[in-house]
Amino acid sequence: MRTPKRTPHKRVQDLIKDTAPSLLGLPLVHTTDSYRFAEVLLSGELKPTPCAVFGENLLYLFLGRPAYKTRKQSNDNLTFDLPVAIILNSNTDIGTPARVYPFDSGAFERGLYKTYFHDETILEDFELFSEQISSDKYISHFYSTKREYFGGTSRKNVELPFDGFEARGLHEMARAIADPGVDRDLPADERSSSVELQTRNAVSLSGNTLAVILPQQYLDTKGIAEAIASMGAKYIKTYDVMRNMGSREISAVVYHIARDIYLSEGVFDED
Amino acid sequence: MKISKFYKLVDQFPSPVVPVFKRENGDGRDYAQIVGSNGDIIGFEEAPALEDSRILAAGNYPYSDAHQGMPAQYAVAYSRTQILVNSMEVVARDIKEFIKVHRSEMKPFALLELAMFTKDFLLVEDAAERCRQNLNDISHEFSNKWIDGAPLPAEIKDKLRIGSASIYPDQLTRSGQIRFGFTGPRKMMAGITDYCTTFLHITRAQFIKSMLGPKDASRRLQRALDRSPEVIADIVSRYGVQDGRYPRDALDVSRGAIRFTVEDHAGFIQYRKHFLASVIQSPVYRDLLRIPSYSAGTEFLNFTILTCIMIEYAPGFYNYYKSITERVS
Repeated sequence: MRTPKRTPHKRVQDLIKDTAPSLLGLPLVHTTDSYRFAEVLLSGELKPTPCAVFGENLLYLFLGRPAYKTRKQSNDNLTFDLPVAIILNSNTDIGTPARVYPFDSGAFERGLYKTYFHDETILEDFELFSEQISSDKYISHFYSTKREYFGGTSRKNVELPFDGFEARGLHEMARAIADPGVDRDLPADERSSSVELQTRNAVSLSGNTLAVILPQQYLDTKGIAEAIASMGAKYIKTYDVMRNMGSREISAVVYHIARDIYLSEGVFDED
Repeated sequence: MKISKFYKLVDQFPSPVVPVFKRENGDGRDYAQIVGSNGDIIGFEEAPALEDSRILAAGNYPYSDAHQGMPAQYAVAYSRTQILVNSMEVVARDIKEFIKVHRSEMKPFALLELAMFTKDFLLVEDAAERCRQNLNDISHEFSNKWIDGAPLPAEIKDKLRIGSASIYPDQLTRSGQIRFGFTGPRKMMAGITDYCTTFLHITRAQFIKSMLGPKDASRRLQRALDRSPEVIADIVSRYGVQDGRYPRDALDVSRGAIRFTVEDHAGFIQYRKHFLASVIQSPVYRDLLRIPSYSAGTEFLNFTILTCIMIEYAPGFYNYYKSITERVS
């Protein structure tokens, strides 16, 4: 188990503790790569796996966004692994979260957000209350709408306390583009503002899956196709790989599909 | 930059692969191309860590010298040793030839992946139908979900749904009136409607006359409307089952409505299903689907009428149809 280098600040927790969770209803999403997906399917559940950062078995989920968890040591902005996003039903019980963070904790540990925060800042300074509602409180504090959170680029004016050093950086990150499909000059950084929930529990896929987004060629494997069918997901969404050159394009396609699902489900409205 | 290897994305052949580059006098690192919105290479970035088991060796390729400004390099591995890398156009052309020869031995979704890259409508349609059949073996519901969520043109999805068309369970009201439900794409519904030629000829003609004709058009339209239940009954009776007939005496056409005075409901349902099946399976209907330029107006009219026939067949039909007709005219 991980031990913090010092006693963590609770400034972010304090900031959002009284925020009304007005942006409820975003489902939890687990994104894995296609190679790992076969193992997930065989077991029929999302299982906690060893986590080097926290030293225990954890299952990582992101609120609403089909964001990839940072795992690798080389170029973080590029992956040759095709993503499979599993969007859970909004009523899926993951138990009490082990931890909740306002961003990809792995990316923080890798120093990817150091431009936003003071060098002395530690990961634990950002830990939110270990309850699922704190993720909703967090986005309600920093975003005007669920759609805004999904795409990034918060337009909400947030009053920050004088000593809200961490919150200031978080607010800046919330204003960054998250949706890789948004056509802007700056590259999207989906993980910097994707709220992460960790759980020590396994989550059964059957009955809990709202949607599966996967590369279409995976359906050629009968075992995979049958396992997906048995999940009973409402949406089976496939994407083609070859026309979408590069991981950013594919990531944009996956975001686009997730957005369409949320629109269909009334999770949020079109802009 | 030179192409040094390829990286498998999917664990099967044929499938798309990623070309990996190395600097010619370089640093030994692996690079991936960055493709701009115009389809050209706009730069290179360091590749992520590669797993040995997914690396395919590169041979000698026409564009071994990749550089900024040249068309993005697409690659397809037909097998572990047979890999093609080139511009999108060249690869698409080659894939078409490959499919011609190897179609039957390819897995459905691998075929679809490559067919979509060629943007050849017929190839995509053919591959998608094979995918549908494959998933249909698992479950009808699953194949339907896939159709709904697949990145295919709406026209192809419509055609796929024909094969997946199913009939809703009949709803029998307490009054004994039968309502129909039928799933199917717009075009299909239009096609079936067109097949009901007798009915269509009358309504179409009356529509045109009422909109373009002299003052008494509305009266003639009214007459046509008054006749329409009878016409429907006639259509049903002509497209029956084994004996080719639906028992006409089971239909009560009166007061501008159709009532199915059937005591044997199961028997009726059987007839209705066969009626639909015979229409769907008919060569005429199949031909109709292939008409590329279906006029929007005709399609709308046909769809409307068919919706009336199939969904509002029971007494509600007359008023529903009439209200639509009045609105349009």
